[in-house]
Amino acid sequence: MKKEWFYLFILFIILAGGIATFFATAGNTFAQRIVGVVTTVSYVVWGILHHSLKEDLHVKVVIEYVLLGCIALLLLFIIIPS
Amino acid sequence: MTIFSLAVHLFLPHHSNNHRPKALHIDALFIYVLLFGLFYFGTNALERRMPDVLGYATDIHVEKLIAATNAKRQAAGLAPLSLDAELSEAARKKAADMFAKNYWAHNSPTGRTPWEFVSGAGYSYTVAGENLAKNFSDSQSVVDAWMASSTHRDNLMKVGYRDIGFAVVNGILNGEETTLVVQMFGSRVRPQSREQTQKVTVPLLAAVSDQASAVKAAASAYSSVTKKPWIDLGVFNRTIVYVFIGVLLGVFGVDAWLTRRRRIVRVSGHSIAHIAFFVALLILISSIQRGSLL
Repeated sequence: MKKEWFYLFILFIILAGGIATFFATAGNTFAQRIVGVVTTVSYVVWGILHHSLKEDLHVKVVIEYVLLGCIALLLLFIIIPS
Repeated sequence: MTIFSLAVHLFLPHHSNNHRPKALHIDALFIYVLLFGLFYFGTNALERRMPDVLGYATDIHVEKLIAATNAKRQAAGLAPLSLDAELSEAARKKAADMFAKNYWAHNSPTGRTPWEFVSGAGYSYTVAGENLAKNFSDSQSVVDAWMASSTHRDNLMKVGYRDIGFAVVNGILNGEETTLVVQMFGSRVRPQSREQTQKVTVPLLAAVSDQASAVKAAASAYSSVTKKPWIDLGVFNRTIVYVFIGVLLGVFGVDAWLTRRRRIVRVSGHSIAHIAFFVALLILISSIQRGSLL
């Protein structure tokens, strides 16, 4: 259980870093897109590593993280102005 | 299948969906990717081809920009600025140059500075400044955004400025329909009194009636941009994205709670992590403004 909280803490650090960088690049839509992509890729990698360390990694889990990442990026790109 | 059992099948972990809401199954997620991909490219294509049907609503007027700018100055105890025809002409030429040479910057790709536009319009200045904005939906939000940016606020609140000029122009910048607002500030080398200004400006315009009407037409063409498409893409996109993320968070939340309560063991991602990720996305999306400043 302690390990689980540690993994979640790492995820919150990744997401908080993404949010802070996104705010810091406000007004630069290209940079914000890059920050969105990097944060999403980090999230997918976190998910895969997390399940790998828990020894319950399955191809379905990888696909789930990748698809959720794709959805998040599409939603972000729909809102970020060109 | 009743509506209730369909809702349970879609949104709650149940034996009918292998204890994972159907809305979170891999095939459902794949369908969302396809639908949002189509939506993204479809709305972009429609906006370019039929901006009157699907586009961004805009309602920006010079009078409102001046009123909002002067309201901010007067609230800070500063003198209001007077609209100057030459500064407005400089702003109009700057906007035209930005569209013609396709740039979003204070200096043109050929190195032309804002001050050259000011001088070129016949305005001899002791001090001058420029604020730029693009793609805001209304006049007040332009001024609010300038006030929220320290460098732009410094221009708006500068004691030394006496005059102001504006151009609000719609055109294509970097392949996108763009509404530009150019704001020029200045103070003349030898400030003329209000009476002197009237004496010089009014007879000059009145004497040459053709020229006066041309100047009026030019001024009105660059003093406002109003667009009211059938569907405001800004509101439309945000509504769809917020509703989708809201439903997704709700389904993840209920799924996380029920699987924990029922002690369901299954092969799937971490629901709490997914919730954290989409809450972070919601924060990012809420912070995004379509308009940008320079």
